[in-house]
Amino acid sequence: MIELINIAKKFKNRVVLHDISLSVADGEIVALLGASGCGKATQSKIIAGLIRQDSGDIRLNNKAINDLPPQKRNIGFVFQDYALFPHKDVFENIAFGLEMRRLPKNKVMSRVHRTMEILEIRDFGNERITHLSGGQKQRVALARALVMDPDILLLDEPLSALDPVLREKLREELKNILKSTGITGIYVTHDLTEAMIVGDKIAIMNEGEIQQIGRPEEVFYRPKTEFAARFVGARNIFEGWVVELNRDRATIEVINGSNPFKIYTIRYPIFERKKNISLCIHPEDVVLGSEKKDNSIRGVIIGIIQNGPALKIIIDIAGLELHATTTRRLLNYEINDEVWVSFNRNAFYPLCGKKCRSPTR
Amino acid sequence: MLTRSNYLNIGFKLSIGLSFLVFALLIIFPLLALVFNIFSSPVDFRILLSGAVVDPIILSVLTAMVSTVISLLVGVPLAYVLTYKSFPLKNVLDTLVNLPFVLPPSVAGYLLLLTFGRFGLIGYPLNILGITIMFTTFAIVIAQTFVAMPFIVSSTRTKMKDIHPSLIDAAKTLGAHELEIFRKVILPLSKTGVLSGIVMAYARAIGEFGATMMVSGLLVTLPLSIFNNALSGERETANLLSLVLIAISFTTLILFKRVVRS
Repeated sequence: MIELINIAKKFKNRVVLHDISLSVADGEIVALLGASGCGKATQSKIIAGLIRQDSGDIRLNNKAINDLPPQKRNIGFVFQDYALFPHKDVFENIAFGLEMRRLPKNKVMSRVHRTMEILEIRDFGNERITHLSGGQKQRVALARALVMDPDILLLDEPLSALDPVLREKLREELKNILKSTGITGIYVTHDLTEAMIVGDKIAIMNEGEIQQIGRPEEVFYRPKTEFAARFVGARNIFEGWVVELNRDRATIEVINGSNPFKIYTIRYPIFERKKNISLCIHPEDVVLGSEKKDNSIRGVIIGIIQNGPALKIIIDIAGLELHATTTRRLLNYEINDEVWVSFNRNAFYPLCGKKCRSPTR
Repeated sequence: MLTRSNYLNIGFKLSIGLSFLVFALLIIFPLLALVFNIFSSPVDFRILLSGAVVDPIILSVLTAMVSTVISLLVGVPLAYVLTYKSFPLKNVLDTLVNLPFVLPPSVAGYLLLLTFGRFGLIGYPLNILGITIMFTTFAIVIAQTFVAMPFIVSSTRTKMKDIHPSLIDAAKTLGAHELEIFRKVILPLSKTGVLSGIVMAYARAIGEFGATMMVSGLLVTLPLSIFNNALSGERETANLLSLVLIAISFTTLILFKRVVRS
């Protein structure tokens, strides 16, 4: 188990990490998800002891490791560029750490071979690193870290150097390998899908802060902050205020310049009359139809974009842009068509400010 | 009719031709002149076995080897420190290490005289202890090391700078301490820089003239012998010694190219 308690780090005058707290239970993989420059790589390097934090504690299996150098932390690290030693072959790369531990040669041999078998690279032992493909390099880097039997494994964007097809194939394999070894890990990525597949939990980071930690489906379907919502693709965010509260329903007036409109949601505990709120709804919960329904508003389709297998529909509602998702087979409209956009009131959920740790709902 | 583009083309071709002409005048003609001089009269190759030829060759070859080894032992750790360590006045040390590249050899020799001479900063106390450095083989080694070491530092450092920091971080997370990282990661990955530095340092040391002349006393190295023989009219000996030095330099450069290619 590893715990980060109020970790902070500045580089010159730039704050890179604000007060980060995170706990990873034994056998759990937490995906640190965020855009480039959000501080996630710095955080991994601090955990590994490669960078010293300005304040805060790191506890590994209930012992503080702040003062331990990286050599004594027993933390495995898979680097973004793999950092394989180009002057050594595959076997020598994997054996490097065990040799540093002065293990007898026969033990080094057997552990390296066992790890190579798990990762299905036993035929590459004598290959030079420069002769390997991206996927093979990634396995060797993983083997080199796993052979050390680390307490924690840090993976810093391990698939980002691969082409999309290979990345898609390897992320599931990687998840299976990590789960079969039962290792505790922190997986740094900027890719939502990768985080959702590999992580048991996802921690969304922005500007040096963890904005939300939760199970993948929780983070995906109920992002708590505007940044988290936008990061998981829930771009329909309404700013408004509570007009009326009933027993199980709330009426919200959406602020939209000179064209405000009303929507209905279920009543959340944080709602108070006249209080300003942000509401979010996923594009897949936005339903398009040709007839007016309860909780619907009229709009015009201004964009249809092929987004992988799905279609992203952009609708203009009195100057406000709204996103919906459908498939080509189900699409009955064209650009400039007028549609009724209806919302299931259960699909709305409130967002809190920049960072919220306490439950909002 | 010639256009502007034609004029430019002709000008470009003329400038290339001129470059070759200057190259021929400065490099090829002097080499041809040497060959012509050697074979213009019957050559007595027995001179090659005389002490006047053999002694300077042996002295130069050996002192250059020793100074290259010293440059290696001092230069590689210096390159490591300059690449990986942060400390006050690092820039000053960096400049000092490279100073021999730009310092006239006669100034280098004079500085060594001031330091290791009988009344020099280090030479004086050593002299009291009965140790004399100036005008000995050791003085030649010091002069050669002074001018040769920057080649090893510079060439090794260039390679060390190319090593990606994540390789060093990876070695740390795998349990390697500083010395092990140096031995098992940094040094093997800087190997070509070190080797090319050795080759260049040896070539510089064996051809060293200005500084050596100031500190060698009666001892005569290969370049000094060429100078002395040329001045005293012993053209035959000067010719053969020049040929030997050119052969050594040529071989060194070929070795250097091979190292760089590897």
